[in-house]
Amino acid sequence: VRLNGPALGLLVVAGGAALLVASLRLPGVPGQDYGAGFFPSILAVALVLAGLGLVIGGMSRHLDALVTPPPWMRDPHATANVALLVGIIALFAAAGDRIGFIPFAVGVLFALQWRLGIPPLRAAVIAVPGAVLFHLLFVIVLRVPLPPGLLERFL
Amino acid sequence: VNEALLAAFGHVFAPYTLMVILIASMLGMLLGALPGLTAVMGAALLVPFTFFMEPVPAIAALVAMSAMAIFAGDIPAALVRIPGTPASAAYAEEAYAFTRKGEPWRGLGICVATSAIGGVFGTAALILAAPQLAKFATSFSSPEYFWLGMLGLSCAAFLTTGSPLKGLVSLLVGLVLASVGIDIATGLSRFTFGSTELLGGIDFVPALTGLFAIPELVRLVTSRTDVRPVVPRYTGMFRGLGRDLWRWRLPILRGNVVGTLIGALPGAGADIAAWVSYAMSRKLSRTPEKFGTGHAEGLAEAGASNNSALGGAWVPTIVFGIPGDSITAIVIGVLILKGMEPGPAIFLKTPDLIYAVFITFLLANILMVPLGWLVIRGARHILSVPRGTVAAFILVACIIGSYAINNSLFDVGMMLAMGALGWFMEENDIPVAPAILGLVLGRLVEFNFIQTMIKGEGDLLALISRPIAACIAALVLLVWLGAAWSGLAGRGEAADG
Repeated sequence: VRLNGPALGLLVVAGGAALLVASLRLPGVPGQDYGAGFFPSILAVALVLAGLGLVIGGMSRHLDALVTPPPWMRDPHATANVALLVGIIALFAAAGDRIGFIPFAVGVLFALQWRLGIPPLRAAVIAVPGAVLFHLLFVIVLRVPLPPGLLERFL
Repeated sequence: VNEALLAAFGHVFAPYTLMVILIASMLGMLLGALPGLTAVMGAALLVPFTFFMEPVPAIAALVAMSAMAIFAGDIPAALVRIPGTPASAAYAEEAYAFTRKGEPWRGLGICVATSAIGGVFGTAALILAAPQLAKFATSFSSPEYFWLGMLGLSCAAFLTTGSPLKGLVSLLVGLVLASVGIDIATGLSRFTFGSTELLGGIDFVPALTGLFAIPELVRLVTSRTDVRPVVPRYTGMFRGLGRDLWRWRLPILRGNVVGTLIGALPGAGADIAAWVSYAMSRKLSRTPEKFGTGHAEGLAEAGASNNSALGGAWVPTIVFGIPGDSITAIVIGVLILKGMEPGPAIFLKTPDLIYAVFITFLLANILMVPLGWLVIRGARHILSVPRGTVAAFILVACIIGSYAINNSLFDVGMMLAMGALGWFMEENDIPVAPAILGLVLGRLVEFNFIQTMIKGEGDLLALISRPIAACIAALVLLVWLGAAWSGLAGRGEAADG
């Protein structure tokens, strides 16, 4: 999503203002001049100034539409791909421990390849060893425990 | 020194480290050769792995990966006219002209040889300059470090291509992100919204992965062009190479010097070095009309330049803790994660580690020739890996990489949030690299700032009371004035045009 100059500037100003309010509400420390909010409040002021600069700079130029969506949003196939991408990450963040790494990775490698035009059989043939390879790399070489999830009884 | 040097050789030539270097090199070659995947993203993907390694293999992996990726970007540039990384964009047209002339392998031979030469030159400059600068920097105290931090941050924000104001916004976003969590000075929690996971702050790795890799993934899954490149048959790239190199020895030398200097400049890296060197080569050439027609001169100069920039970028990185480019910004994050704060003291505390970095650089640039040859021979296969497979593997690597650092699903969600932020920033032409730098250096800058303020009892003059601090402060001021001037000039042009 592309905003035009003044809109982006206003967004930055709003963010800076919110940060300033939040920083000033942070408690000070008795006997110390600089509380936890001191540095963030400087950043907040800088953000407000930079945002104002963007507003002013944007005004003197030819104004684009307030909001320009990226070209792929007009392409339903591509938009669905992005939704799939976001959905996959959100799914692991929400339920990765219950699903487990290997089932999840096999699913992702298969689904995304298939979706992007690779024949299902070939996608599956790549997905299974691919997931196992990731698993071995992390569990054996780097010694990071990955969630077993659905495969708990087998691993 | 000798003991440290021996220890360094021991670190680098340990079988584990050598294996890591080899794997990271292959990964770098692959990522660099696949159009759209950059050396910076490769570094971001490597960080989770380095987290579980000893310091030397961790840093060696990043060094080897980035050197190979910057070279390998030349391969698709030459064969299908799509630069593999932005660092090859400057001379993609020239390299492709060799292919059109029917000499693709001669062009690539020049690329691999000059890349290796440039890499070795940049390393040599690093080896000579860094310890000298470090000696000078040992007398620095918190005001100097505050200003050095400011200098690094300012350069990163303002030296990016594009609007300096947007660079500044990016930097501030990074600094704000760094202030989330428990404040070191007061022990109070800030901006955590009651979340216990946020008390420790926003972790560098999920932030890095999200900011750099998610926008690239979005690009990968939304592009409709699945080009099936036509790669000519390999016929040998070493024939006549010696003659080409000898003939263009002066441009190559010039590319080395310019690339190293630009690399050492905070905020400017390999891609800018290549653009500058290519333009310079054309300007100083006796036959500028031949440029763009498969002429070796500019290709050799710029090909050497972008790889020498990598070594140059490490000079301010290790000496002052100010990254020379986006990759070294990531390196600083890794060094801090490993408990080694970059700065002049690192030469006294862990000289063996610094020597190990030097040796790895040399080793990687020597390895570049045989590995480059292998990858060039296999280019036909690498370039025909479908986009779906690439995207799927990168996505899994991103997810597992963010998860593995703290074994936390929360970090995966954080990666997604940072990805959305990174994507929004890219859409609006806000550079991402300054934000990473802000995130990495934020706490350090705040700490030095508060400490100096407390020491000076709130007197702002305390920040410039020492001569070197005042000099660096003047430099910072210069950078800011320069940015303001270029911003105003840019607006004037826009208004005129």
